[in-house]
Amino acid sequence: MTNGDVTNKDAVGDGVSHQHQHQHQHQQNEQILTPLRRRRRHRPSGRSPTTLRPMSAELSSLSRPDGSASLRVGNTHVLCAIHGPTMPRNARYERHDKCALSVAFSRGLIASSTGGGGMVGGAGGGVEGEDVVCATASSNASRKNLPPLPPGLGATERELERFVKDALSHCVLLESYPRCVIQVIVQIVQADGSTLGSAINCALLALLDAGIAMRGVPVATTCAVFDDEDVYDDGEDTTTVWLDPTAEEESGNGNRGIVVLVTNASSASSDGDAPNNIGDGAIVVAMHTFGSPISLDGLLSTIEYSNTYSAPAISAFVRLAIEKKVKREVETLWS
Amino acid sequence: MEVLPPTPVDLPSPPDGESAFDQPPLAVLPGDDLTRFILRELPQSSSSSSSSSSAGGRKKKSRIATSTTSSSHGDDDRENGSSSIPPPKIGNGLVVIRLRNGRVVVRATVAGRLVYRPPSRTWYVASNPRRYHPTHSPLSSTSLTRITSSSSSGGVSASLGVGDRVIGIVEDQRASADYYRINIFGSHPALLHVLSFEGATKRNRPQLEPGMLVYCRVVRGFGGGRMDPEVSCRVGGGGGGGDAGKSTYNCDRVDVHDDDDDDGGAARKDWMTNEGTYGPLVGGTSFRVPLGLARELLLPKNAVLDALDKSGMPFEVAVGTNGVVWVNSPEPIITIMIVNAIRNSEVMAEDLVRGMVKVMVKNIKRELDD
Repeated sequence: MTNGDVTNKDAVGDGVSHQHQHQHQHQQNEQILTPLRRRRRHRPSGRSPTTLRPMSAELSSLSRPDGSASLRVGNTHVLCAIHGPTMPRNARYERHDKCALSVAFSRGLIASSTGGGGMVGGAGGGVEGEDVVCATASSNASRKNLPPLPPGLGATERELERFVKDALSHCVLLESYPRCVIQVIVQIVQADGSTLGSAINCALLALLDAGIAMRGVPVATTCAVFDDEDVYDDGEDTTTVWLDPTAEEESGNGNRGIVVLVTNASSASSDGDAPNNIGDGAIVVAMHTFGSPISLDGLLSTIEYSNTYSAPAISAFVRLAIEKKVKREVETLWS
Repeated sequence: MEVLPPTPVDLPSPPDGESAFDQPPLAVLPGDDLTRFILRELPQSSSSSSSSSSAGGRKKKSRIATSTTSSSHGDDDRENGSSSIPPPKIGNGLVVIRLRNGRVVVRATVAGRLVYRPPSRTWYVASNPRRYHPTHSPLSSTSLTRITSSSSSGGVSASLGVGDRVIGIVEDQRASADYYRINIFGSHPALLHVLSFEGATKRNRPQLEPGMLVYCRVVRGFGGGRMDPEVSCRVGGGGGGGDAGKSTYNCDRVDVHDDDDDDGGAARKDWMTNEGTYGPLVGGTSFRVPLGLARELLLPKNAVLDALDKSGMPFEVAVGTNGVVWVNSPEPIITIMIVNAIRNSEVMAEDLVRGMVKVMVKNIKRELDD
């Protein structure tokens, strides 16, 4: 079984690798500014608004499925397995021209780091979650004792599964596999914010691991959007966008909206005219919002932020993961 | 300025009159634009042919550039004036698309390693999947000159997978009275006609039970994924056992497998003797490996099988292109050792493999002597 561990410390990306250095500079500058601004801008996790959490991934971690991946983003840990393309069990699901994509969130138990009281208990919750995740059969009984789920997982699972399915369907070449079904099984081992986005990124890695034909690389970004009204008392409304929020930053005191944006990271370079970052050419594949309403300004800011900071970094990370897998295979196979 | 996928090697600035070769990226992701590597350059192993092909390569590129400005007809793009260098073939994992602005691009659709095969001038992406599917065969290629504008709909040609030797498991339910259903670990089960064994007649044919392993040959392809594939235990070309008249089906479509008719010199013996090439595999054990390893095992001088061969252990092995491997030997302990050796060889380089086999064989011999 081949395993590959990738961390994003090697990845090329603006907001990712220089996380700590920027953070110190930021805080120094802010002491000059008004106290109100500083209070609003400060993220509980201490990152700058456009910094992503460190990511690490492992491909082909499971031996039975055709493709699998395990993705960790900070304290969020998601596992994904792909079975397919294979025959559907029920002939009703067979489509003569396309493949059917089916997504299932196999949820064992989720340890949330906010018990509703704003505690930051990521590490402690994580250990609990990993011990209990083996007992998926009894999950229904013990689910009642769990703290409430963080936002983004409060929505019904069917809706989330549908969203993931739509996001992936746009990018998988369904016409290559008529009468088949590709089954995507997502297991959330530990949820600490940006869970839905991480699930999509993990499914993407697993699809690439399985060698399924795709049109592009759908990359998911999660943003927390605050529509602040006139924070600085200078007569202008501002919006704040935080990329890759943790669970605490997602729930907070409920005054924010969460946007999960899936963009096709490779569409930007297709026309050959776009500048050397994913700017105007990127195609938004799917989007989902939770929480409080978001203004148009906020929405456009999320798209801009994700194209500038998040999508290039995550797609570079995905490329790195594949490169590592290929490099290892070159040494041991492909003689 | 073209946007390039980031590569491990520093690339020189783009086209038009450069003399150096670009190294194509090692790993590609779906959606990567690979036009500049494929349509311009052909990587060469010798220096003498490199200069001629670089001239040819640059000429191709300028031809394409002028023709996009002059006419909008798709076919003009692909006329290559240089008669000495025919255009490259595009294999598995790559697709040729004509954009709205008239440009022709080659994009990857699978994540994996970009490979070029000089003998057949084919570019393809080698991923290492676990499931046997026609799009994963690197020999499925189409020449660039024959692509029409409608071919970008993901059609998979009917001849894919034909001629592959696979190992399948007979399933419980028969497809009909005349056909067995065989699980070849692909997208659909394959059909095996009850009479498609050498020398089989209605009264004299092998009875396959559910769960038996069968070593067979794909005779009718996946039909674009729309049809169930057909397999046969007969040697050589031709359709299923009951449809002798349809043997022209494969011959017409064969542009990929030229040796379809002689099947690589396989032995054509009656099914009742157990010396034929195809048929049920009795005894032993079977396991699944990824397709990349299966292809490695089928190479002539494969390290692990060669080392096991030289060690003097008695065993027999069958490898299917669909990733199923069958091993049989007189002692179960030898069988287990071989299974482990093959599995480990996936992640080991060649000299490590030989060392590993040596150590394992030594231990086994010691066990057997006790």
